[in-house]
Amino acid sequence: MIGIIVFCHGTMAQGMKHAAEMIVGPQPDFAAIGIEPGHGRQQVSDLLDAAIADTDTGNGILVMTDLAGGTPCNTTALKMGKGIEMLAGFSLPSLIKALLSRSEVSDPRELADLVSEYGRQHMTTGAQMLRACGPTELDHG
Amino acid sequence: MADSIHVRIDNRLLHGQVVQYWIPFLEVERLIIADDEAATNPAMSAVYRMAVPGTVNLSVVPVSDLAREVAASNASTTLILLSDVFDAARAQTNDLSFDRLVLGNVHATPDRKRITDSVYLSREEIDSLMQFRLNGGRVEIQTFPGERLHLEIDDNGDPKWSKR
Repeated sequence: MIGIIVFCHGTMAQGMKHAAEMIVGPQPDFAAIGIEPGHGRQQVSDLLDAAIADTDTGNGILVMTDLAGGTPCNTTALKMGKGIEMLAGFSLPSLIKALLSRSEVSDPRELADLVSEYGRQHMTTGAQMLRACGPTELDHG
Repeated sequence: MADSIHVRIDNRLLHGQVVQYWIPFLEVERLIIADDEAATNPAMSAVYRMAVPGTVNLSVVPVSDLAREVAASNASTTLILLSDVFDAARAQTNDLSFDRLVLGNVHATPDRKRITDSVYLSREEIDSLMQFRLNGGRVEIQTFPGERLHLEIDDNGDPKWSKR
C-alpha cells in the first residue's frame, strides 16, 4: 500500500488527518506534519525525512501539501523520485480519495494524478449543488 | 539599475508567504535569490523556478554575484531574498548598496534568542545589524505586511526593537 503524508503550514495537517479519520476510521502508514514560524530549511527537511521513514512500506509515498510554492511543497519537491510523489493544494475530499484508493493503485504518480483530478472536481458551491438536484424549496433563484 | 529594491532575509527563501503575500503586495517584477547553496544545487533552483509566479523574472545567484545581477537589471521593483544576516553583510562587502534591510523569517537555533515568533537572532547577528544601523541603514522586522518593528539604539548603546 502507498504511504500517505499530509504536510502543511501550522496544524492544518494534523486537523486534516483527524477530520479524514472521523470519516474513514484510523488509517495505517498515514502521517501528518506541519511547519511553524521559527522553523528553518534543515529542520523542515528533517521533519519530512522522519515522516517518510514512518510511512514507507516499500510501495512509494504520496505527500499531500497545502499550497503550491509553499515550504511543505518546495521541501517535498526536493525529495521527489525514488517512489516519492507530491501534490499541492489538497482538500478533505481529495485526502479521503487518496486514503481509499491507495491500495488499488500501485504507482504513487498514478495516485497523485487520480487524487488531484478528484480534488479539482469536488470543489463546488451551494448554488451548483442545488442546480444539480433540480427545483427545491431551498432554491431562491 | 532597478528603481525599487527590497532586501529581505528569509531562511526559507521563496515560500508560501513570499509567493502569496509579498510578491503581489510589492508588485515584484524581478526576484533574485542570492544563496550559495541554492545557486550550486540545481534541484533547489528548479524548485524555486517551479514555485515562482509566471509574471516574475527569477534569478538564483551566489551572494558574491548579487551586486552584478542587480546592476544589470532594469526592473521597476526587485525583491532580493537572502538566507541570513551574514549573507546580507557579505552582499554589502561585495558592492551591493542598500539602505533598508527587512527580516522576514530567521529560524531558531541554540545560539539565537527570540525576537518575534518568526525572527531569532544571535549576538553576532545583532552586532552586524547594529553596525548597519550605525552606518545609517534601517533595519526592520516585517514578517507580514501589517507588522513592523524598527531596530533602534537605546541610551546605553544597546539594541531596542520599537514599533514607533
